[in-house]
Formats: sequence, structure tokens, C-alpha cells
Amino acid sequence: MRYGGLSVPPLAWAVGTQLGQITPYIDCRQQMVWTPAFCSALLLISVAGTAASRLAPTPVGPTERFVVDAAVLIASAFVFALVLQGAASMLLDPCQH
Amino acid sequence: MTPLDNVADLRDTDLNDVELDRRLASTWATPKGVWGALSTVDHKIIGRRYIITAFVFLALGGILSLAMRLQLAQPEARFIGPDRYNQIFTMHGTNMMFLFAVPVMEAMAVYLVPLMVGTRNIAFPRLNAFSYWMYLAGGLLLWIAFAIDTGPDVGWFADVPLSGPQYAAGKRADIWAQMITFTEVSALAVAVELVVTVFKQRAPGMSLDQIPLFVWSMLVTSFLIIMAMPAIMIASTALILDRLVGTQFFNPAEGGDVLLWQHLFWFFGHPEVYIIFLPAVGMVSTIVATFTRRPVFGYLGMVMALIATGILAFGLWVHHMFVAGLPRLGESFFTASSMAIAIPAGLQIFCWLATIWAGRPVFKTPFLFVIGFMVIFVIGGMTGVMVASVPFDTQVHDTYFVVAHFHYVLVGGAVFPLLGAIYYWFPKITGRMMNETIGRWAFGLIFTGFNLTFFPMHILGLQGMPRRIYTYQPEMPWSGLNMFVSLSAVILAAGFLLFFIDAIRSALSGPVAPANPWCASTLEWATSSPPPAYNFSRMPVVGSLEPLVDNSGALPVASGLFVDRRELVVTSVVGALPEARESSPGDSIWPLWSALATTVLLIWSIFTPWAVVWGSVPLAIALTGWFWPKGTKEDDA
Repeated sequence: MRYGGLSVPPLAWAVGTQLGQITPYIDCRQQMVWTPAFCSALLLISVAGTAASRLAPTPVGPTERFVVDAAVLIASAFVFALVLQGAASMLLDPCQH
Repeated sequence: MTPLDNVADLRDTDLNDVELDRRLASTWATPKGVWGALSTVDHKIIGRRYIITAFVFLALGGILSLAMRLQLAQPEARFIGPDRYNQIFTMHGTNMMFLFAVPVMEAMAVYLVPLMVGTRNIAFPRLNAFSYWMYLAGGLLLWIAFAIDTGPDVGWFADVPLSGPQYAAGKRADIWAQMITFTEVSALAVAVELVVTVFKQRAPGMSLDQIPLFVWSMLVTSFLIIMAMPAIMIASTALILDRLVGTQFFNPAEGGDVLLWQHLFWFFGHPEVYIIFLPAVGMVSTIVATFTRRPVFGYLGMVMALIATGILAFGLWVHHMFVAGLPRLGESFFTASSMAIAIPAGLQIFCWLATIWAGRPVFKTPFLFVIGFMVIFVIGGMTGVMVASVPFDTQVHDTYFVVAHFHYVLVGGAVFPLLGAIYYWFPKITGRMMNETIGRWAFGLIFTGFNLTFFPMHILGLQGMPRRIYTYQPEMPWSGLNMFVSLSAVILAAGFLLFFIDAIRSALSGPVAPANPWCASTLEWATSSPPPAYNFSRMPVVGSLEPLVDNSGALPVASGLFVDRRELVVTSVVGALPEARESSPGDSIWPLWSALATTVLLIWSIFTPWAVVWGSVPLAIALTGWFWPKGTKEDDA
């Protein structure tokens, strides 16, 4: 839980970036909205991971606190990237090349 | 002979300072002579070799760029023909990226990281020696090939099908692809050594929140290398296989995929930019802290920025492929990540500015290069945000705008901090000071020459001048600016020439440097300049981020290590609590033999696949010799 910020948002972003290369083809062919759907889901997962880090019991030592604080900050950068990706998925036509 | 000479398992607690230094020198020193030089595993000697070799490659790459500028100064010039020009721009890019930028950053780390974390040698020191010989062999392969008119001519990213068997006859593309193997093996080896050194060999007490920022930057960089470089090694090996044995990885007619090359290359290629830039972040942070007389503002934010940048770097590669015909929606994901990476980069810049604002800046040469870096890198970052936009990138793709952008990022973001770092750590490495007056002149010429050379290239790009053209017609509106750029390149070259002259002259006859000439706060300055073979007489114990400031008296030390064999302290990953005493391998000639055997195998395999079979025999012999138990503590390590 404590280090969720360090792992969950970067993983969610990596998964999203990969899916972003695959789902536009499916969305275009089948007229579906998989891309915005997975973007939203990954964004929620990232926010949950960050919150879990923040709300976990306070670490005892300064080094552990440093790691947790760094994790939350790192998580926020990836949440921001996921927000941008989600916005793009709602604005662009998946068939456009 | 002293009474202690017969005592077995003598420890540092039993000796006074003079006797301790004498015995440690005898245990750790590299023997004199050619054999000693070839078999040394001292990280400082290997680091120095790396740095010097990388700067030789920088000079050679610079000469190539001057040749290109001479050719482009006027329309329809006849100085260089198209074939040679193709080789020259390929050599320039390949040399600067693979033989200078990445190796020199790792070289600085090879020299500095063990000193900054307070240990006596890098982890896996024989692997370190092997990595240098591999790097040297790769560099020689590339330049000897160029000298005999077989230099690669397919661009530094060797796009297929241009570099494939259909369009690139001869061995030029193979030379490029195999040179990649040499340099990446070397880089991967150093990355592994650095990760282990930082995680397991830090001075007791140097917990994760007390690691110097340069060490943090090299830790993140090493992970980037470990994750990015296998992609390019796989790609270049697949290319060699396509060319040599007729596999069809990149041939669409036989089920291959041309875009697979671009994905693999840029999955490595974009993190490569950060592999070059992140060490520079560490260098700048170190220099800023020293010359503002205060710790860097926002240590936590800086560490966060390093890690976030390192991870985000792996989600940007498609922005090099915006004109490859991928879905716009997929491309936009990479635009998003490209924009997002501006957040940690901006955070770093603001942390440095806050440090300078709150500190008492001393404008010595290293600090001037840092100021130059900030100006140039911010401009490069802004044009980076511009080309992260798909519509804009589509317009300027493969024009001189992109040439200007990446030189602003790479030279501004890496070379300026590197030159500052050389001025800063030169006293530690050589024991002599560089000349402050010449340093200021060198900075002035390089800063002025750089901006006059590369800023007009933005305009040339917006005027439609493509990259990689060996000449252009007089009717094009480019000749005036090209002449201006070429003349400005002379100013830039003069600055570098002055820097080289200063470095060589100072190394030979500069004023002798004290142990800590800049009153810096990190551990490398706690030992003499240059450091002894064993780095520290007694192992330092760290209790803060600035151990030399917070312990202005004597630095606390740990004791209990043996002095009659090479031994160092292994500590825990998070808190750097002492865990064990570990032997450090001694000098060995086997890394050189192994590198030679690998070189034979790799070069031979350009010509026949059977080289992999027969070439593995001498390599197996060399590796057996390397790892054969020799019955000493150092060899058991």
C-alpha cells in the first residue's frame, strides 16, 4: 500500500501507452469506444494507487518517509500524463491517420 | 621489515595512519609497466581512460561536423561528394551518440560514483575493465572502417529498408550494426556495475535520502540503459541476420515489418536522450550546490523528477514516428507523455533557480557552463514541446529545425554540463587546477559559437531546408544563413580547441590542487587529489546529505577491514546499514583477452555466420581463464 504510488500509476501509464497503439484500430473498425474506456479505468486505478500511498500509515523513519513522499510525487506526474491521454482519447477520431 | 609484516589478517584498527596508507597502497595499487596497465581494475584508471577516449571521439566527430559545414557554406560546393557526405553525417551522429555522449557520462560515473558513495572500487571491477576494451574496439572498428571508405552511410538510426540488403550493398551497414553491439555491451556492463555499487557499496549511514544527486542520476540512468539497450541490440542483430543469412525481419514482402525497426530503434533511441541528459542533471545539481554554497533546493523533488523522467522516457518513442502513418489517436498518447515530461524537467529548472536565488553564487567556470546549460536547454525544451505536436512536427520533420532542436537539447543539455563537470572535477581527477581565465574564454566562445551556429538552423528548417542533403541549388533561399552558420561553427570550434588546450596544459603543468579546492560537500572531496588507489584510508560514515559541511572537523569512519587483501563494506539498500565485508577482485589480464576474443567473434560474424560457432571457442577459453578459481580471496569474490 505504502509504495503503491511508486508502482501503480507508472504501470497504468505503461499499459495505457501500449493499449493506445492497439485499440484505435479496433475502435475504428467496430465503431467502439474502448480507448476512452480503458483510459478512464487506468486513470481511476492510478488515482487509487496514489491515494493508497498517501493514506497508508505514517512511516517510522525519515528514509521510509522520503521514499513514500517521492512515490506520491512520481505518481502525480503519471496521473497527469494519463489525464492528457484520456483527454486525447475523447477528442480524436480513432480512424484518423 | 616491521613487526607487523608477519601478522596475518591485519586490520586497519591495528595500524597508525602512515602505516595504514603504506599497506593499503601495496594492496590496491596497480603495478607499473605495460602488463599492469593492461590488467588494472582500478575504477579511477579505467574511468580516466574512458573519459580521454570519449573526448578523442568528440574531437573526431567535431572535425566531421566542420567538414559538413564547409561543404554546406555555399550552394553546389564540390568539397565533399554525396557518397562521402552520407558517410560523414552518419559517422558524426553515430560517433557522437554511441562513442561520445553515452560513454563519457558513464565514464564520469565510473570515476566518481565509487568516490561519492565512499567505497574503494566499483562493483565487478573486472567487468569494468572488459567494458572499456569493448568500447575501444567498437570505436576503432567504426573509425577504421571510415578510413578505408567503408564507413556506414545509412544515418545514425539506420532506417530499413535503406539499411537492408536490398538498398545497402557492401558491409557499411553491417559495420554500423555491429558497432552497436560493441558499445551496448560496454554500456550494459557499466550500468550493472553502477547499480550494484550504488545499492550495495554505499558508505555506512548513506541512506537513500542522503545519496548525492549525481549518484541518484547515474542510478536512474543505469536502469534506463539496462531496459533500453537490449532493444537496439535485438534490432541491430536482426538487421545483420537479414543482411547475412536472409532472414526477413524487416522485409514486408516476406512477412516482415519495416516499422518494427523504427519501433525497436526508437524504444531505445528516445530513452537514449535521457541516458545522456540525466547524468547532466546530476552534474548540474552538484555544481549548483557547490557554487551557491547551499544544498540544492527541493532534494525530494529532484529525486522524483529523475525517476519520473526515467520512466516517462519509455513512453515517448513514437514522437519520432509521427510521419510514419500510425493512427492519430495512438500518436496523441505520445504527445501527451511528451508534454508530461516537461513537468519533471521544469521542476528541475525551478529547483536550480531557487537554489541560485537563495544561495551566494560564485561565478567560476563550472558555474558559467551551468548557466549556459540552463539558457540553451530551456530553448531546446521549448522547441521540444513544439515538435511534440503532431501537426507542427509533420511540417518540420526531417528539416534543419529538428537538427537545431536536438543540438540545443543534446549539446545544451549534456555537453555544457559535461564541460562544467570537467572543470569542476578536473582537480580531483588530475590533482591539478584548470586555468580560470582560459576557462572563461572557452565558455564565452562555446556559448556564443553554439547559439550563432544552431539558432539560425531553426529558421533554415522553417524555410524548408531538409537535413542530410550534401548540397543545394543557388535558387534556394538558404545560402546566406548557411554561410553564417558555417562561419559561426568556427567560433564554436575555437572554443573547444581552447578547452582541449587548457585541459592538456593543465594536466601537465597546472597549479597543484588541494583536496577540496571548491569547498564542496560530497565525499569525493574527502580524499586527496588525485585519490590514492584505495580511495579512502578509513571508510567514511555518513550522517547527512552534506557530510563534509556537517562534519567540518574529522569525518566519522568505520574500521575493521583487512588491509592485506582488497576488501570493502557491503551495506543495505535502503538504510546503508553495514552488512558484510566483501573482497574486491584484483587485477587481471583476462578481461582484455575476453574482449579481444569477443571482438574477433563480432567482426568475423559480419562476414560469415560460422564465426559465431568458431569464434566462441577462443571466447570460451578466455572466459574460463577469467572465472577459473585461483585460490585467493579476491578471486573468490
